[in-house]
Amino acid sequence: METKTLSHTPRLIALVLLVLVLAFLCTGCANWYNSSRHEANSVVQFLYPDKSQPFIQPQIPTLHLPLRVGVAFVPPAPNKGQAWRAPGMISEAQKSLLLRRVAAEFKALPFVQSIEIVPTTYLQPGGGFENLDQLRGLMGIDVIALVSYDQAQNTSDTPWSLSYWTIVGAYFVPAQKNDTHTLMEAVVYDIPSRSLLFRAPGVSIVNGHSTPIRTDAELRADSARSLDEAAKDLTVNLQQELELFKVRAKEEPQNIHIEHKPGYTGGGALDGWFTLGLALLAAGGLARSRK
Amino acid sequence: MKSFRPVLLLAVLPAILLWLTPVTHEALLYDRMAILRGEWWRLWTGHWVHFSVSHLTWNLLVLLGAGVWLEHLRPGRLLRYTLAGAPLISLGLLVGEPAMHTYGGLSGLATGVVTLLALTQLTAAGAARAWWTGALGLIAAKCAFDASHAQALFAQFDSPAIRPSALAHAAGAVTALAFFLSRPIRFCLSLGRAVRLASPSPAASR
Repeated sequence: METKTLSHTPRLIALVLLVLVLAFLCTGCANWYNSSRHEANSVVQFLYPDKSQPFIQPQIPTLHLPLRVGVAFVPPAPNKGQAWRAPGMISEAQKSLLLRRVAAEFKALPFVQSIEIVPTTYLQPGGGFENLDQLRGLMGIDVIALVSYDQAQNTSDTPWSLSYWTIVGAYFVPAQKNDTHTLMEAVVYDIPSRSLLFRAPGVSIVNGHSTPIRTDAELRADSARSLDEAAKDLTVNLQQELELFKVRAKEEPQNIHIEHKPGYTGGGALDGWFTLGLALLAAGGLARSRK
Repeated sequence: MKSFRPVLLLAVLPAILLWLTPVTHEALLYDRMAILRGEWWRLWTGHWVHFSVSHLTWNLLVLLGAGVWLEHLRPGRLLRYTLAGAPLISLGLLVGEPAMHTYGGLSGLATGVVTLLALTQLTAAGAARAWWTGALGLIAAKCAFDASHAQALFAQFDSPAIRPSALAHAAGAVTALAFFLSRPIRFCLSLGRAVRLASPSPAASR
């Protein structure tokens, strides 16, 4: 009898161990596909590196028309002792495309003389306003539009993830839920006065599903799609902000000083309203004198 | 038709001709440095150079309407004013806008012609006086608006480097006023001279 009891103990231990291993494996499976990624570059970190409180006091901007505008992507935050940086989710080609879109919005403005797309290599991580001053001297720009982004991606299981236990399910059941959130922002600074002229955001949320085998590829595709959507939203908002800025510059001369660079060309121009007003008054005068 | 011809020959045709021949702009534009070097013809010719179609159209519309009317009321006054007013407006710009290197456009002259027409009408038409006072008020308002909104964010020129000149309009109105007042002053001076000549001299009376 005792011998029988003894022979059951290893089996029990083996069973417990098997359950534990299975539980561990299942948890492992579940955790394997629950992941998140985050990538961002910050204007604040670029302009005010290692400063908890930005102490640069902006002045009232004086814009010398016509403006020369630079458009640049904010470089990533400086590496703190790390020699290696993970490759970014946004490629240089995507950055270039986005900068061209932003530049096109500025080009349409009557008071902008030229647009310079500033190569990423010209901006140092955490370079601050000193770096912008260098660009001003180098490229002759007065105003710069800094484009930054913040993208977070999450992938999580759904109840259908149980199908992964069948192995085949991992290949054919798109039970992974992928969320991609992108915030893009263009901030426009007057370099000499260090003052923020205006900002325009662009947001995008992309949701999708994928099989665990294709999750990485789907996340990359979602990332690109989300960046594209955010960039489009940014462009629309930028148009609105530029219109508002024009109105603000006109209506609040105490907040934005406008001057013209010496050597400008003057044009004697009469407009439609003036002509219409004159025509009405002249017609009225003519009618009155005929009576 | 009689009053239309001088305006056509004096303002419309030369302006359109210059617009169609941009190569001439270089030599005819109001260019501060060139004028100071002695190219004085630019004081006149600069007004006929335009920078865009809308710039040309609006200026010619106003000048054509006001010019034909003025020529109908006082034949010859348009030519005299144009000859005297164009360089005076340019001199005003030379003194008043030293940062402006180049200038083009008939609006200064057009503003002057409208002012002259309104002043002429004010002396002639009794019943329509209020309308012509309104026209003068509109010109004053336009000059004031241009001066206070000199930011030129909405300039309708092809190039962003071009901004409307508020001073040109004000100078046009002032030269027209001076031209208008010069006639009675000249009349008074000649009258005074005639009275002096007619009156017996103290020596002769003794």
